[in-house]
Amino acid sequence: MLVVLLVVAIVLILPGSFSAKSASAEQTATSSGSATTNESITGAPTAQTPGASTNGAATAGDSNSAAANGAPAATVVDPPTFDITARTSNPPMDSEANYLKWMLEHSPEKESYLQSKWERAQVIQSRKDANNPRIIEAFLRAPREFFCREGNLSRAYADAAMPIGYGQTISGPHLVSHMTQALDPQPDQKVLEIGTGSGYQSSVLAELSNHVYTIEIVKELAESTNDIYTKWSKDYPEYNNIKRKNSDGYYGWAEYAPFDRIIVTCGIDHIPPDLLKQLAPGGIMVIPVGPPSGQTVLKITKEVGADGSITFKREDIYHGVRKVIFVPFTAEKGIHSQGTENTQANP
Amino acid sequence: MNLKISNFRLAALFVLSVTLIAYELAVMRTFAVGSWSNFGSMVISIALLGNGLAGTLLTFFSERIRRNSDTWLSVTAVLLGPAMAGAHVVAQAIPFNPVMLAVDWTQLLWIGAYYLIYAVPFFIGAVFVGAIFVGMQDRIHQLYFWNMVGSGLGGFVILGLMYLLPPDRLIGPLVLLAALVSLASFVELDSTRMRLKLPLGRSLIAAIVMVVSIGLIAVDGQIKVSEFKPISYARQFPDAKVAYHSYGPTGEFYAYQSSFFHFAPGLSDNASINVKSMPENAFLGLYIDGDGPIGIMRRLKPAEEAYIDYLPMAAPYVLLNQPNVLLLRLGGAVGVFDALYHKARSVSVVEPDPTLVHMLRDQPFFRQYNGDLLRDPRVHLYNTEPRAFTASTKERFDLVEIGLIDSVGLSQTGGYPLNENYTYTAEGIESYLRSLTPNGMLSITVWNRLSPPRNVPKLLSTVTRALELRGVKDPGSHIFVFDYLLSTATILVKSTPFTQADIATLLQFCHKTSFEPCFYAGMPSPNKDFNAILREYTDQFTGAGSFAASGNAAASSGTATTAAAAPTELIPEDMYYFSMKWLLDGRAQELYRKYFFNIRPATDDRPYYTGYVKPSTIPTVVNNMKDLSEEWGYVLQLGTLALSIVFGLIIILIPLIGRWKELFKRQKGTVRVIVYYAALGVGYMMVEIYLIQRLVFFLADPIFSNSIVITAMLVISGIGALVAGRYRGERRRLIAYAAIGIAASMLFYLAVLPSVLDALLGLPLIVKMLLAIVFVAPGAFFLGMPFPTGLSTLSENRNGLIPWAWGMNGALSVTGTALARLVSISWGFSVVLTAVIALYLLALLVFSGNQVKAVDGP
Repeated sequence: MLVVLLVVAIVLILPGSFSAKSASAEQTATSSGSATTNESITGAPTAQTPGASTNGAATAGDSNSAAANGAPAATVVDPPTFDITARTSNPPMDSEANYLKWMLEHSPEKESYLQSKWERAQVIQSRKDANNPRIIEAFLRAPREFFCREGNLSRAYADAAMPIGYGQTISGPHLVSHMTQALDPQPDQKVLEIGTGSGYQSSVLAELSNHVYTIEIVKELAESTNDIYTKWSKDYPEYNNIKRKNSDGYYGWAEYAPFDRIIVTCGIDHIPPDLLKQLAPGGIMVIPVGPPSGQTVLKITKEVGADGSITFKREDIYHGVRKVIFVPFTAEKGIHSQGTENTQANP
Repeated sequence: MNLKISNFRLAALFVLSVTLIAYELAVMRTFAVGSWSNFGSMVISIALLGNGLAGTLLTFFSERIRRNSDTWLSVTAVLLGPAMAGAHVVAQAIPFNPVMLAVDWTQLLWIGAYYLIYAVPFFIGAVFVGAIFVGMQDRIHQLYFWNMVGSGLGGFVILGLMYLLPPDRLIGPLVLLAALVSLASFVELDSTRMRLKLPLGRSLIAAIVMVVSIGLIAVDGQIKVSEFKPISYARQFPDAKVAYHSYGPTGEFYAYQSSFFHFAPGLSDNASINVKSMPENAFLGLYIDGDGPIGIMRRLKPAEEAYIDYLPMAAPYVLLNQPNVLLLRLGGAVGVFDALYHKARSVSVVEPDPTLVHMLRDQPFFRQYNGDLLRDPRVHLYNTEPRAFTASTKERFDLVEIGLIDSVGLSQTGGYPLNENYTYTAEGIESYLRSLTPNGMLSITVWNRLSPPRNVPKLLSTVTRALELRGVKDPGSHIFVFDYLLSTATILVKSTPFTQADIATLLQFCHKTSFEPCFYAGMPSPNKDFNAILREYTDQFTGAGSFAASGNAAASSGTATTAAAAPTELIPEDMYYFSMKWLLDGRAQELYRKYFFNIRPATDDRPYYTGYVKPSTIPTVVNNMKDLSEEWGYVLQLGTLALSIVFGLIIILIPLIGRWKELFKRQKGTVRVIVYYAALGVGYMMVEIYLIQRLVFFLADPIFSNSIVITAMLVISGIGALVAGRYRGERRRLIAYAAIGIAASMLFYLAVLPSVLDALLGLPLIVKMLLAIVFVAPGAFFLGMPFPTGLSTLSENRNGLIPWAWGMNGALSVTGTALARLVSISWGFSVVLTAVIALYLLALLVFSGNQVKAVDGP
């Protein structure tokens, strides 16, 4: 009896026994290598076909999902479904009472969230994360709580990033405001966002530009965000201006390039060259760098000289100073990192 | 007790000790794979306090235990297996999320839940140990010996299991061992036949409990991997496929294949203008224990290679013609491609990780993927530690390159690991410089993503110190530094001074790539007030100076500059330039004092490339954790220390409840008992941690260092305890000899060991392993004497205090672990060893306190 129990125990200990959820269960293909006792090899190296990235699945507004590469094609600007410049009234920002009154009349948001949002907007301004009235107005319009997950609704306007599933976070309101101010999108400018995530950043951008494009790599996240936009598109018709697709944002969205503004919300060890190519002359790209809980933000400006030379200027929009205490950027002293296509030029 | 039965009990203690240590290491592996290894160390340290708590509680029941010790042993032995399995399974269900720590205080409760869950098996194990010590007081030295030997062997047992089983299966065999403990505890004397017997009923219960426990792990014991772990992202890529999976003591390796991997670390933005296209589908993502990814590169077609010229690692090649290259660490072999692309005539690669070497060089899949790169006749691969290679090779190289192998650039939720890193110490860099040809160059590229800067200034001070160690008169003329904002920084160090032509060529490279020159001999000064810059870096966290709400706080200090009114702009390149200037102008100490972070050079005595927190700024750092989240590793060590002190106090104080008079008024010397065992607990672990940290350098791998030091220390200390047991009549003299032996050993470690390790670094690994045991031996032997000698003294005079002394020792050993780490980060190993000498001398002084006679009896 004891021996039988011992055998059962050993069988249960061995790898691969019983556990339906074992990590090794995800390996499905046949072995192609000489595996030792604890190795498993899956598949042969895939034949590499440059430009054949077919993982994109277009959703709303996307007519062609093939990721093109190379120089920007002719600009395609679809007329906006809803023109944000044609709005007849805006939320007053002179007092909390006026703001609440207007929002309760014009939006489906609850008063408690609106109060939290108003208070957060004051802190955003006092900490100088954003002081441009257009950015503050966009923040005051966008319903952040719609993009938070159930368990975090009470903290929707807390100064923190919060999980939204799939290892992704909704960035904190200060970071979003800071990055949006650095981006400064105008109504007629085309804005590309890489990493839709919760959809909150796009919703803020949609308050500032009629032409927002956003790409999300995680299919489930792209779908759930799409559902949020669809659900609220009646109350927020500007969400119909957001073109979105489920794809690898590394290659940008060539068919709509060039973009006046590009905002990247996912980490990478270099700036994707295709995004730099798809950035319009004079365009600005903003990219956060670092872990989700403490990011600094890089701003890249593409400048074209009179001789046609292209220059990329890099700036740290926090200037080595973190979020809590912010030193305003002074352009003439900005951090310079300039490039040129003339490789033979003297230093 | 019958001699044969007591031998079975000793065997039970031995197997239990094996099991507990193996379980501790298995749980740490579980944390490393599932979330973050630093959390694992912390949780286990605190859970081990369950050990101490058990000892303390047993002081109240010592008489009852003595009467029924076999029952206590049987019950705890049967419970151990299910407790270990249950803790593992329940811990996987805890919804702890480190990302939410800053905003959600309930996350702290989940950390508390981890403590409680993991404390259970350790508590049960400790009750077993306490009961056996109380039940067999006449054999304390033997008990201590088998406990130490078992614990020592536990490290090796789990090491072996790691080769055979994946991390989520490691607990099963330990439950099996726990069942053996049960059987050895059940053995009893058949009074009718006067021989030993194993009760069938109880044995059957133990076996069923074992099978159910292992079944629980098999069904529901899969490690829950955090969704914020880097590997979780790869698993979400739509076309992700596992290309390789293996496991072993050095980690669980997963290589994923996906078109979504894009690597070009530090790539210049200008590549987008000048390079036709980037190679697509050119990388696999390699994850070790879920962290990474390391990009493993396929062999590129010639048309795809142009982008390599826009990487920072291309810089040294603009000065070198067909160089003989040494790459320190293989990574994903990008450096090898880089060297061959730049026409290197020979590329030597040093990689300490055998799994990585085996994978990339021998696995058919990877051989096909990289075009048999590592079997190219120009490429020579050495499976050893970089320092060991440079110490032993006679070959000289035109270029020694260390490219992006540091850990501060990766996006980590929980901060970077606070480990010893002997690659980036002054002595290490000096040894790489020694490997250069007369005109050769060392190139170090690191991540440049910390804001405010930390790792780059620390590396600059370390490189400068290395050049001083080489006897270079004018280090500044040998250094060229450039960076790319919030991306990478590269430090080039040349054997001979950079010529004007060299500098012009490098500046041209920087111009082509937009990389920013930060320092070289003759570089024009940015003409800024560095004092104001340094002050600004501090003020942003303290809220003083220009950051004060009033905006004029600095003005009131009397040292106001224009910065007080208008904040000084903080640009990393300024920090790098002026740091170099001050380092070269003899103002290094002033720089270290004035900068908010610790940027003193990393040395072999203080090998912490990622140790940036100064003791004086701890409160400020803790207050600014939200903005200094990268420093979590240090703060966790602090938390472990604080909690261990709190728990230690609880363990010390609990037995005093209601017994104040008895312990302190009627019996003298109780305070001395406390001091004695506290000093031993802290001191022993400080030596153990020191030896692990020091021998990582010698043995090339933390796994070898940990297992050899832990095993050798415990076994040899056990032998020391046995030897001490022979001299029971001369305890006082014995302790004096032990203290002298310990002090002499520490002086040996302090003054002789570093240079001995340096000199023997090039020996084969197996010889170094044996030598490591020899080095551990003197310290461990003498360290094994004071504890059992003290216990046997107590057993004669105040045996009720034995579990208490045991508990205190255990609890304070956690304090010793955290303290050793924090002290070595800030002040170096030499201070740790000096503290050990002081602690053991203190123990010697108070030893007479153990010999007190109770006024009214025990």
